Amino acid sequence: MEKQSKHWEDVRDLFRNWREENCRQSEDVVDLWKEVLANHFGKLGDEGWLVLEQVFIAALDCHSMEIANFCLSKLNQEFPDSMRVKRLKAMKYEALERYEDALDILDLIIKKDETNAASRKRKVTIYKSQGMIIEAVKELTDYLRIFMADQEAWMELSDLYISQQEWNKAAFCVEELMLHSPFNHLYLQRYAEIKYTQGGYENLEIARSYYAQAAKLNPNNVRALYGLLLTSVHMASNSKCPSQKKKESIKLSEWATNQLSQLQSSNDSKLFSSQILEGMGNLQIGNDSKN
Amino acid sequence: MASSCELSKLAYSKIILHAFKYPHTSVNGVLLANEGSSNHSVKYVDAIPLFHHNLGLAPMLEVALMQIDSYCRTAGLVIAGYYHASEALAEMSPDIVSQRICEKIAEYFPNACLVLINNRQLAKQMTHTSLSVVQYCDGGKWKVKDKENFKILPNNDSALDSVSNLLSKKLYKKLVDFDDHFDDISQDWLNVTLKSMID
Repeated sequence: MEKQSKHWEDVRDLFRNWREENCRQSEDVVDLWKEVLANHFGKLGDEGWLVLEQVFIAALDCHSMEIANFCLSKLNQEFPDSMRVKRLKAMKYEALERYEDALDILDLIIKKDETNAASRKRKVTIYKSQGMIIEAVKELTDYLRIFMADQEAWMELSDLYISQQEWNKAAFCVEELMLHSPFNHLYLQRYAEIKYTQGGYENLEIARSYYAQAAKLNPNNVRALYGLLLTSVHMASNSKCPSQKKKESIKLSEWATNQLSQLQSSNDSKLFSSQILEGMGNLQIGNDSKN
Repeated sequence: MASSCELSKLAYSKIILHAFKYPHTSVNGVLLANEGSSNHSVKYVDAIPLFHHNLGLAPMLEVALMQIDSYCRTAGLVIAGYYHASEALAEMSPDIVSQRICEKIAEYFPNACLVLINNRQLAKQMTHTSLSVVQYCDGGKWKVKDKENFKILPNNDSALDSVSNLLSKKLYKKLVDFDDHFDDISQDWLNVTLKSMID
């Protein structure tokens, strides 16, 4: 009996962690709810409503409509006039691909409360689910004109632009993110990736500096290290590169190789650089960086 | 002359497991064939899962392909095809990123195949192969492959049973793609342990 009680508390704490970190562990949430937490719902108190919302969304993700409906009806019972619950209902319609019904509810919410950010963002996802990327981009840019500090939205917009190969616009979004958080190595690395993909010698140089900064902030960022190695080797072998920068590039590539081989202790550093150098000419997929 | 295209159980399983591991994003990967394969009758013996984030960005793709290429040389294989599952449920045509990558692969392995996952047909109990294949032809055209010219070994039904079995054991949680490898370099993108579980 005691073991069972401890168990449900652990699950409750786990759910709390996942809520705080915004993790998408839908399958695990649904399984743990079914096995453990559903039987102890009464003990959760006010936190129970947050858990219901979390399980609801996870259930939609897994298309477990029975569980989703159960959660929604309980929430509706407790909070009958809530905009938040209405938004969840719209999400349910989204999951059932009843997009028009979902949009109707969301438009109603936004009309009643123009500051409701979450509902506006759900509209973006509805367009995205249907593959209507251009409409999604328009909706998201309108949203960002009002809610300019929403980093998640800037990141999403950047992803949408990347999927459309609009590199300048994608880079602009990441620039906004870097203004908010200049020490976030992930943003710097993402910016470098976009610049590298865009192609051209100047963008290669920019990519290299951003990769270098990202690697400096976090020497364990594998993508930044590989990126630094890639850009340095490309620059060093480019005719446009002045000899000073060539020497710099070679030093950087050596540093990156050493860092990588330290992280992956089974490989020796020579193997890495020879692999990369061998593949250099053949496998360039981004726009030609040699121009 | 219609060319045929076969997918080994290992390659097929990895493709489906990859799609199941990341159902909420697009996923992609490359297909490997034996060195010296004729492009008129290709057998894909393995699949290497690549990414589930930002498939359109070049640098990590290049690094991954270099590592795969290096591995291929030691194992007598070549990169000969590409697979992709779209993020949106209904999307059924290859997007520009997939086309570009497959065109690049076709430079080294002419008539490379682009395998698209039909998201709607995926299920825990698989009843359809859920794949459609287009092949890159000279002149930049994409030709759809008929079902007769594309099959999964040893035969479609037993492959579906085998994959459904893997899905029920939730083995997709053990699959490692390059994004996972870059997040944690100790993870094995060759999926050697998973391979023994599939065989």
